[in-house]
This record gives sequence, C-alpha cells and structure tokens, in this order.
Amino acid sequence: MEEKYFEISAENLKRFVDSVISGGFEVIAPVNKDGDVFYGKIEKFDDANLDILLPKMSYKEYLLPKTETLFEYSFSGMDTAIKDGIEAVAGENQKRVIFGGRPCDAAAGPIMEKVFNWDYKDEFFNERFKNLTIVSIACEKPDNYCFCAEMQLSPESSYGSDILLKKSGAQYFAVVTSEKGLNLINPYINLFKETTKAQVPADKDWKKLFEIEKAKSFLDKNFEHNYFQDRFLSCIGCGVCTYTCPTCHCFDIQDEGNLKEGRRIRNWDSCQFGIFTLHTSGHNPRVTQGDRYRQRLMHKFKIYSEKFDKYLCVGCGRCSRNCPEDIDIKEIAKDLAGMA
Amino acid sequence: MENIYLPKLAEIKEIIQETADTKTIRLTIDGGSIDFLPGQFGEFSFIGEGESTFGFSSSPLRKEYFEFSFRTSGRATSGINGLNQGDKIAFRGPYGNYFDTSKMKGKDLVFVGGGIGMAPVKSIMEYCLDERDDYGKITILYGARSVGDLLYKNIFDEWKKYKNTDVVITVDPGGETPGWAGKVGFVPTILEQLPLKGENSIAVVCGPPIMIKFALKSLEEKMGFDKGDIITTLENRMKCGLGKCGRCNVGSVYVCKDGPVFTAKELESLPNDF
Repeated sequence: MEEKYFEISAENLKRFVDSVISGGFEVIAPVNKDGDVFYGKIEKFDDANLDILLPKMSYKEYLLPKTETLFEYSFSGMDTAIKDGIEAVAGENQKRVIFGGRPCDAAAGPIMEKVFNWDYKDEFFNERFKNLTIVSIACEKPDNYCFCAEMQLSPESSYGSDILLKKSGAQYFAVVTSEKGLNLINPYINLFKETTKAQVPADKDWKKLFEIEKAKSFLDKNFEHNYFQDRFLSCIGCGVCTYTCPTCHCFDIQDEGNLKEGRRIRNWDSCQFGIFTLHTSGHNPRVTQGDRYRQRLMHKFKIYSEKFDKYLCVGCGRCSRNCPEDIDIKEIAKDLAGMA
Repeated sequence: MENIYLPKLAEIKEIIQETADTKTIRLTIDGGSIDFLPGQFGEFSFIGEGESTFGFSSSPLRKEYFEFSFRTSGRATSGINGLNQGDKIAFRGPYGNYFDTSKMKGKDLVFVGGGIGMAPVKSIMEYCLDERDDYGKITILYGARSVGDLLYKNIFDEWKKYKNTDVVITVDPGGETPGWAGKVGFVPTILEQLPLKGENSIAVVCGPPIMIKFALKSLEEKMGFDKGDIITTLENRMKCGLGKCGRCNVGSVYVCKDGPVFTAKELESLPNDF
C-alpha cells in the first residue's frame, strides 16, 4: 500500500486509543509494573507510560509466545490420540494492537518472519504476525545503548509498523504504511487530518558509530580469532540477552503432561546455554561461553544476513542494558568493525 | 493451516535388539514405508517424553517398512525402548538432503561405518545393493569398539551374498572375543589395509568425529580420493528439523536443511563449529 499521512493532536490521539479500546480491541502498551516498565494490556490511554524510551522486554511474546502448545495428546489403553494445536491460533491478534512501541521493536516482526517462512511455513507465527496491528512512536532521544541507525534502521523508521507516530510540538504526524493501519483509524478518521509527505518533518541525520558491514566482514574471516574467547570470559551464560532480544527466536520443543494426557510445547531457548548444542555422546560443538557468544554475533551479523539480506538485530540495546556483566553489543560490533 | 510440527503415528512392525543398549525399529505408516531418500532423517518420538532425531537406516527401495536404529540414552529413547511390536511411535519427516546416487552410478563404492554411525551408511549401502548392477565393486567396512557393540550382526551374511561385494568387519583392539573371525584394529587402520583406489570411486563415511577425521585423512592422503568424492553426514543436535529452532548450524550452514549429507570438500570450507 502507498503510505498515507495524517496529523493528529495529542488530545485526539488519546481519544483515538480510548475509542479503539472501547471498540473491542485489546491494546498493549508500555505500562508500569513491578517498579519497571513492560508491555501490557491497558484499559485506557492514560494507563500507558509513553515517557520512557523502551520497556524492559520487547513484545516478541505476542508473535512467538514464551510457551505455546503445538499439539495435545491423550492416552487410552494402548491408543494415543493427537489433537492439532494449530486451530487454537486461528484469528489470534485480530483484535490486538501494540501501541506506543518503538521502531526497533516493530522491525523485529518482519525480520523474524523470514526465518519462519524461508522454506517450511510456521503458521503459528504467521497467523499472529499477519493479524497484529502495530502503532509505534518514533524515538526522539535514543540512549547510549541504542544503535538502530547502525543496524540500517533509525529511531524514526516505519519498517514493520502499520502506523508510525512522529511527535511534532503538541501534535503527532501519523505515517500509515498498511491496510491494517488504515483499517484501524478508518472508524475514527474524523480525529485525523490527512496531509502530505512534505508536511511530515523529515528524519534527522542520525549519526553512526560504525559500519555494520565492516563488522560482518570481520566475522566472515575470523571465526577462530582470540577476541571471542577473551572478550566473553566475563559472560556468565545467563541468556538474558536472548530472552530480552526482540529478534532472538531460537526455541526448544518439549512434552509435558501426565500418564493420561499432555501437550507438546515450544519454549523460548537460548544459544547461551551449553545444553543448546550438547550431543547425546557428550560431545559439544560450543564448549566455552566465547564459542556461544560468538554464535550469537555470527547469527545476528553474518548468518542471517547471508540468507535474508538484512541483519538479525534491530539495535534496541536490550541485551546490553540487561546484561549482568555489562557486555555491550554495540561496543562489540564497533570492535569487530574496527578490527576488519 | 498446516502444522509443520504435527507428527503422524507410525506402527512398530518389528524390533531388533542389536546390542545391549541399541535397537533397530521397523515402522509402517498406512501399512508400508514412506517416501524418503538415503541420508535423510526424521523426528521420532515417544509421546510424553519428547522427540529425537535419527537418520533412516533402511533402503527406501524396501517398501514394507522404514527403520531407524538408536541407543537408549535419554528420556525419549528410554520411552521408545520400552515399546513393543504393534505400539505407536510419533514420526515427522523426512527432512534434509540426501546422498546423490546419480553421481555414484557406475563407480566403485566404499562404505565406512563406525559404531551406531553405521545406521545412515546402511541406508545408502542397502539402496545400492538393491540395485547392485548399477555400481562397480562395493567394499563395506564396519567397525565398533567391541564385538558386543556391533549392530546389524544378523545381516552381515546377507550383505556378503551380493556379487563383487567385500564385507570387512573390525573391532577396536581389546574388543575382540575368543574365536572372533573378523579384523582387530581401528577403522582408519583397517581401511588403509584394503586394496582401494580413489579413481572412479566414491566413499561414504559415517561414525564418531574422531573416526571420520582419520578415515578422511586415510582416503585422501593414502588412497588418493578426491575430497568431492568422500561423502559423510553430520549429526548435530536438532529440535525442529525445519531450519527454524537455530541450534544445528555449522557457521552459515544448517545441518537440518543444507545437510546432513556433506562432501569432505564442503566440510573443509566450514568453520570448526561441529
């Protein structure tokens, strides 16, 4: 769809969100919880905390839940019955809107979508992704952990958002990029005033600290480099980088149940755990934390980009902000680019 | 919407106790085998305990069943180990690439297997034996730690019946029993004693990483095999088998999608990540 542009005042934005909620949508926005900010359901616009840069976690779980049922099973005598879990996901997210997320989180959806469709089609992901409507707000002040500009995005990128809101004084400009976005505002179109692209403030010239292509070219040639073993000696392998990452999608498959019935589930997993690659024989291709963090860097900046021509990282910096050892992936990518 | 993680139920037609802790299980779906090619693998599960990844060990030309061999070592395999004939196993697949038999036609073939790594070798080997006239001389070398660790003992004689086919069985030094009629020595050592030449030949090698390493060296350096004519399979830990769960990659290569079958030449270009 060709992009459309609108103006909306701050008061009308509030009216719009409250109307979407009363119109039957579940609206997920940054909310205060347990002394921090997470994405969660809001009952009204004022519940949302739009003053912070980024919630602690991304909203990945609305596309790839922490745990989901692939199928259910039950036993009767010697007979096993299997009940497909795919039907349960039909229509999911049709009445759900993410409001007030950031461009980095929005970009993660189409980036993960490629993994779930490059050959076999994962309809669990696809159904949620297809239906979810995303209304993001452009960042005005990224922090020192942010590096989306380096990751070929920007604090004002509309990639992956159905609607991107850009604040300008007391009002917002809305860049509508998809039919889903248009369908969301159509019932309340009187709150918006259509405008032209020329009226929308141009994106700022966001400075880059390094060229990600250079980091990739270092990774292309230096699998065995000492940097990885030395730099990640401090890594305790907790996996928080992967759990808070909006694009980390690696998963485990497990059965849980009792002697009568149960379910096969898919859970978030982490390449930072030794068991992730442990063979039955006891052999492990990735023995040290250096091997494992190198895999994370390789997957994000080399392996994914060779397959899909983008990077498996949106530069949100959550892995760095949440790391108990203050391992800053932006600084690491900068190091790699510097060594190229 | 199709659920790519949904298995089918397969019926156990026959169970062969190979060694104290390994079994071969023959399965049927709708009364027969499934369509697969030698070298491919599947996800087999005892429902309630989880899935495990195994390569097929039977020839796809044998249509009455498809089989896999496994060692009991974890939850899923312990579950499968407890099943009887007529019971059900959940199965999804086949997945992955396969041995390119068109490149093997008309050539001399060497099949080298170590331990339970003989399972995928057996699939391609029996496929070739099933169409014996399409290939030149066939040499089969199979080794295990001890006589008690040899799988497929009941069918060694069957392999020997084919024309122009040599079958050499060996056990590691110290693994022989009184009266053992086979060879004693590590697989790469015995391999070097065989009258093999690299020209117009293809070698298929599968076994523990250390055996593969030395067998490849013997084939290349002592017998003049081209790296592109030595084929092996990688056995990384997998969950989905579909190129999504993110753990089986070696560098940029996904063993479940780009493999599990690779030539020695392809392995050479991969980083030390396996």
